[in-house]
Amino acid sequence: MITKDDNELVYEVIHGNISSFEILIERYQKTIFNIVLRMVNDEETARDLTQDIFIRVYEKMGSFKFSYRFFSWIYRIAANETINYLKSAQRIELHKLTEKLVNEADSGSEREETIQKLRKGLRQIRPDLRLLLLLKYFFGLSYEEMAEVLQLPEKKIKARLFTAREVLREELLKNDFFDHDR
Amino acid sequence: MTDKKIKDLIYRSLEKELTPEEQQNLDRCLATHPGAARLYKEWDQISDQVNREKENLVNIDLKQAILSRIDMKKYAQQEAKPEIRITTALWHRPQVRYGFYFLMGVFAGFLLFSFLKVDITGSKVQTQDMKGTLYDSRSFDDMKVADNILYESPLARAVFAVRYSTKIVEARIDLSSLYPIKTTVEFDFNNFEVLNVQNVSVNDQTTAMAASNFLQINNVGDNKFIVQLYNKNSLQHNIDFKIYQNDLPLYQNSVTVNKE
Repeated sequence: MITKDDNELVYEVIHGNISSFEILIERYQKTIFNIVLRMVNDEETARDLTQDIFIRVYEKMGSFKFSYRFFSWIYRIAANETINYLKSAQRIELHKLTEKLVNEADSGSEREETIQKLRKGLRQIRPDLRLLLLLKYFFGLSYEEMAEVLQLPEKKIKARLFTAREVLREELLKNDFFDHDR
Repeated sequence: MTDKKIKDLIYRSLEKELTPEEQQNLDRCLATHPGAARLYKEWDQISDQVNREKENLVNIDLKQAILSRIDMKKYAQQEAKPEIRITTALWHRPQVRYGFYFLMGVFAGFLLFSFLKVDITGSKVQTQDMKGTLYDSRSFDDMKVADNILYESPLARAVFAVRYSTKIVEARIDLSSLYPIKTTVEFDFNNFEVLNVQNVSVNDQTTAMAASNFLQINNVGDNKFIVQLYNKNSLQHNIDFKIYQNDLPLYQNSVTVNKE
C-alpha cells in the first residue's frame, strides 16, 4: 500500500475526501495530545484542546499553503491554541489548581517521583519556553523545524532554548530533582 | 572558557552535536572545572529523565470525537473539481513534462535564432552605402542621375527624369497634351525588363501597356507615371524616349544609364 504524504492528504481533504482527514488525525493525534498534555498538565483539558486543534486545522485547511510542510503548520496551530489557552487568567487559576492536585497525588517509586519532579519543573516555567523544550527534547525537532513551526529565526530559537534550559535547571534545583541535592 | 561557552558545549554534547575537537575541549574542561562537571551531571540526569518520560507518551484515539464535531460538508462541494486533479496528475507524467520542456526548448531556440539573425556586429554602415541592395535601388533620391529630358511644344509637354542604381532604372514621366499623343520607352530586353508602372496621377482616357522591350503610354491631358526597369547588368545602355502624334514622330531622345 502506498503511503500518501501529508500534503497529498490535505489536497484530498479540501476536495471533499474526509477519509484523508481521518488518516491525518491518526498520524498526528498522539504527538499533538502529548505536547498539549505536557503544556496544560490535565488529561481532560488536553483531550478537549487536541480536539479543538484538529477542528481548527480542518477549518483552516482550505487556506493551507502547499509550499509549507504540514507538520510544521499543525504544530504551529497546536502551539498557538495551547499558549492562548494558558494565557487566559481563568485557565492559569485552573492550571494552578491542577498543579496542586497533581502534586498531592505524587507518590510511588523513586523513579516515578523523579519524573514527577521533572514534570513539575516543566510546569513552572513560562509556556513559550516550555514549548521549546518539549519540541526539542520530547519530540526531537531540529532547530530548523522549530524555526519553521514557531516562525522565528533559528538564531532566536537557539537563544531562547538556552534560556529555557537555564530556567528549567533553576526550577529543578528548587524541586530537589538532582542527585547531589539529596 | 566562559560559563556560557561551557554550557553551550554541554548542551550540544547532550544533543550529540560536538565535533571530536570540541568534545576533547569539553572533556578537559569537565576534568578541571568542578562547576562544569556538576552541570554536565545535572543535564545528563535531566536527559535521562526526559528519555524515560518519552516512553510515557500517552496513546489516544480522538478520531471519532473530532469527526463528530466537524462540518463534513465544508469541502464537499469542491469534490466536483476532478479536472484540477487530472491536470496535476498529467503534469506529473514524464511524457507530458518532458514534452513541455522540449517544446519550451524549441521555442527558446527559435527565439535565440531570431535574435542572432539581427545584426549585432554594431556596424555603422548606412543603408544608402550598401550598394546592390533592393532597398537602396528603389530609393529614387539616392540613385544616380542619368538625365533629365524636357520636351515642350504647343502640342505636348513631356518631362523624363531618369535615374539608376545597380539593379533598378527609374523614370519619372510627366506628360501633358491637349490631344492624344503616344509616348514610348524603348530598350533592349537583354538589358532591361519592366518591373513596375505606377500611375501617380492618371486620368481615364490615358492608358499604359508594357511589353518585353518597350512601354507605351497613350496620353491625353496631364498625367504622371513612375516606371521601374530591372537593370540586368552594369554595362552602359541607352533607353529611347519617343513621342508620336497620329503615328507621326514629334520627338525622340536617348538616355544612357550605367555611365560609371
